[in-house]
Amino acid sequence: MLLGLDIGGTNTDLAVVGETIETFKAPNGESPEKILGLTERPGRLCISTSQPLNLILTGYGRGVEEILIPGPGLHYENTIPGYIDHRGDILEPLDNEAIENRLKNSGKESVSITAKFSVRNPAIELAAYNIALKYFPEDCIALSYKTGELNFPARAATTFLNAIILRSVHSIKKMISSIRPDFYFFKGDGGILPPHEVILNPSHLLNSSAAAVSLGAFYLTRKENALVIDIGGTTTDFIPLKEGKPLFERLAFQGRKTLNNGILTSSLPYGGDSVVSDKLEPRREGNSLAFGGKLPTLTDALNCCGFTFGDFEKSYSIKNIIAQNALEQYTGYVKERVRLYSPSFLIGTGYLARFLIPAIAKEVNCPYLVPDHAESANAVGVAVSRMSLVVHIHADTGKGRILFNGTPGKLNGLYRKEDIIEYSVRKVSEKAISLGASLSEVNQIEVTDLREFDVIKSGRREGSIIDLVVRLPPGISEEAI
Amino acid sequence: MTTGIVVHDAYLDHEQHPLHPERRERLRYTLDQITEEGLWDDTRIIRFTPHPAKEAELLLIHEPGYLNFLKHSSISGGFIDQDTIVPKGLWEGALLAAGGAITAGEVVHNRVVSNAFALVRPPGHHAKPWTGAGFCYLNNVAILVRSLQKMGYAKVLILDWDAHHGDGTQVIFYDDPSVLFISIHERPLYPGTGDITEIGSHRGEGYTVNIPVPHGTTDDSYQLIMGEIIIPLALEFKPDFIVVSAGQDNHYTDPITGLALTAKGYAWLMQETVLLSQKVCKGRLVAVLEGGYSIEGGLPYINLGIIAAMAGIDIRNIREPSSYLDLYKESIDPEAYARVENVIADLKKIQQRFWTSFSIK
Repeated sequence: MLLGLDIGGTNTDLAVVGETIETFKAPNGESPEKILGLTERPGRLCISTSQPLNLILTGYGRGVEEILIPGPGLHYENTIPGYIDHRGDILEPLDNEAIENRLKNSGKESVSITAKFSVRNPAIELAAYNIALKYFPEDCIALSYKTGELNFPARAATTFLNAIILRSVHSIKKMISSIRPDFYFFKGDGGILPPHEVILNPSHLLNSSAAAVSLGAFYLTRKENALVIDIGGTTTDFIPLKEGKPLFERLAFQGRKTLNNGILTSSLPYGGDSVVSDKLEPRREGNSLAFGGKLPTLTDALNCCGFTFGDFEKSYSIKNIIAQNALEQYTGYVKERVRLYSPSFLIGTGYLARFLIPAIAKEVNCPYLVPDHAESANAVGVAVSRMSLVVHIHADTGKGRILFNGTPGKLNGLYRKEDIIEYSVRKVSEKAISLGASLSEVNQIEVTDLREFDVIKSGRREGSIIDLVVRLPPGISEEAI
Repeated sequence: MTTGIVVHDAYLDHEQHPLHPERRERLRYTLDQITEEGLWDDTRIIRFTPHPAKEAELLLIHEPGYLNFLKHSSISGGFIDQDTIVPKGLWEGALLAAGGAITAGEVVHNRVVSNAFALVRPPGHHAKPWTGAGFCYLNNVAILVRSLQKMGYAKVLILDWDAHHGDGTQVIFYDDPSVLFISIHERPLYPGTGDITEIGSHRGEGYTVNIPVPHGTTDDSYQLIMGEIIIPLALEFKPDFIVVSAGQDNHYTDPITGLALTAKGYAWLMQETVLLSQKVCKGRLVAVLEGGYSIEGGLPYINLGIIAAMAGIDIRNIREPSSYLDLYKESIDPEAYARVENVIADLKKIQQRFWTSFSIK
């Protein structure tokens, strides 16, 4: 049995996928324990938390003390001296006093620490971490080396994000673990990982909603090339699928590019809870009248046109003509956006999809499907996902170093490229299995971005440098196929 | 300001021999540095994939017999000189290097970017019409200059600041008044040419300007040369395009030369060249990588400084790690500056017939 829980902006959706599929929806006002109570069944539980994390990020950033240790190179303001070079050698030691002074008087809630080339040797960041521990709790300090990738500014932006959400992710982990210790987090790439692994780079949890919807839409329809239209409470999201997969783009936070990819989507600021005054407005002020809210919404407008959502009679305070206009306004926006994609097929998801998509599809002259469980396609996507892993590996045989996502490992005297690749794949496979991947999933592991060259010193070959990325790509769990 | 970077995996793969100074390792740390600095994400930097040069473009510079030799010896390997053997598959790599220089010219010509840096290997400035030499096979810069002239840029200034004299480029344009070739290089050093008395011939007299500098020359001498020679000549010549033969072997960590330029000195030099190009030719500037063998030393910082200067990115923190300081102190010669002053004075005397900037008022 596979259980998927998606904590959204308005509702929490649950899907149970086994021989059959069951889905449930609960408003977010319910206590987390009660929602989790629904999951008291055997099987693997995965949880998507991007909505609450996105809320934490809104208007945030002032609470982070950002420590940059760039050494020579491009110019940054307010930096701390210290430098590790491209081969991981410490060429300028960390200025302990400077970092001590910054952190002592910081007054911030958390700290992010990024040193140049730290993914080639985390020593400087770890030294800074030990100083930071005097002034900050462990779960409020984010280090960049764990992201594993070269790109100092993007690593700094990612680490900054991690510093904002690290504590919340820790507490979500603790809260859920107390009820259900063996759960997985669902990530923005559409894959899952257990909490202790996610904690290394929690920014991977962000923007997971689109990943959940696209995976669920594909799973429920098996349509490989389509445009998913997900009608939520606050927004309507458009996610193109190509060969069964969404497209990705690099995510930015506060104008700074991060290392993370997010699914390519576009949004309209209208959904089922959008307020209807004399026209449809791009804002949400709580629930629809039919669900105990104070202002009429698009859902209420649908009730005025003959549907029966919730306590539908409460919706009748809107004039019929206004309701009709609001609906036309909404479908007009959606049609306009759909045409930009020139899709060959439409998949509707979300609570209102069943009622709105057929008319829209007809008008844009495109075949469509609103599958069973479209209302909770997101939770289905979370349930059926499988583990994904990306491990950046850098081996420097001359220095006797190998790093897995910035964390030093043992090279065990290996020096041949083939042996190092094989060893890297084995290590990542072992790790995936220890995290819960099945053998057949591990067989999907692939090696990309391989490069290798010899290091020559004083006319002699000192060793070689081998970089590679070993990935277990996201996909659908074999249990769900 | 936007800067194009022309780069290709083949530029990383070329190698005559694993122990050769011009080996595969050369650009790797530079690319690490560019990646780590996040430059590929910077909106001021655009990356371009080169196309191979066409044979017709090569024939504007090289003799058909030499091109045939190069093509054929690339099949199973060949020999030009002790420093310059022909490894298998060289031909395709060399075409891509020359094509990279042309690509850089095209993206500037088409105003896709303000200027461009072709991070090509193998280098080119020792290659002559009839032969390769000194790690070079095709003269990338010369091939670029002719293709720029075909695009309509009649007058081109070549600034060759590689530590070695660009003898190949000099020979190619020796009679040609449409190309002003200025070279700053260490002397004595390979290939041995580049005396101040080598000034061009026939209609090209005065369009070859050699500035030999001694062992231990530092940033301040390069600044002096810029102000005293290069800027006045460029203002007077009024080129339509500036091409830099960007050798990075003047750095004090370079193992096969004896100069003492710093990464900051390089960044400054390029910043001045960018300003000059803006003054004389609407910013049209292409730099093409030549030598530079301080693979793990200064090279990543130099290339970063050059790219930053070209793209108008703040260069104030461009420097080497402080652990290199002792090496710097060992490399400088306090008397070099005075010697460079003398070279400048002598050079002006020789060139004053051709350039009013140098005539004694």
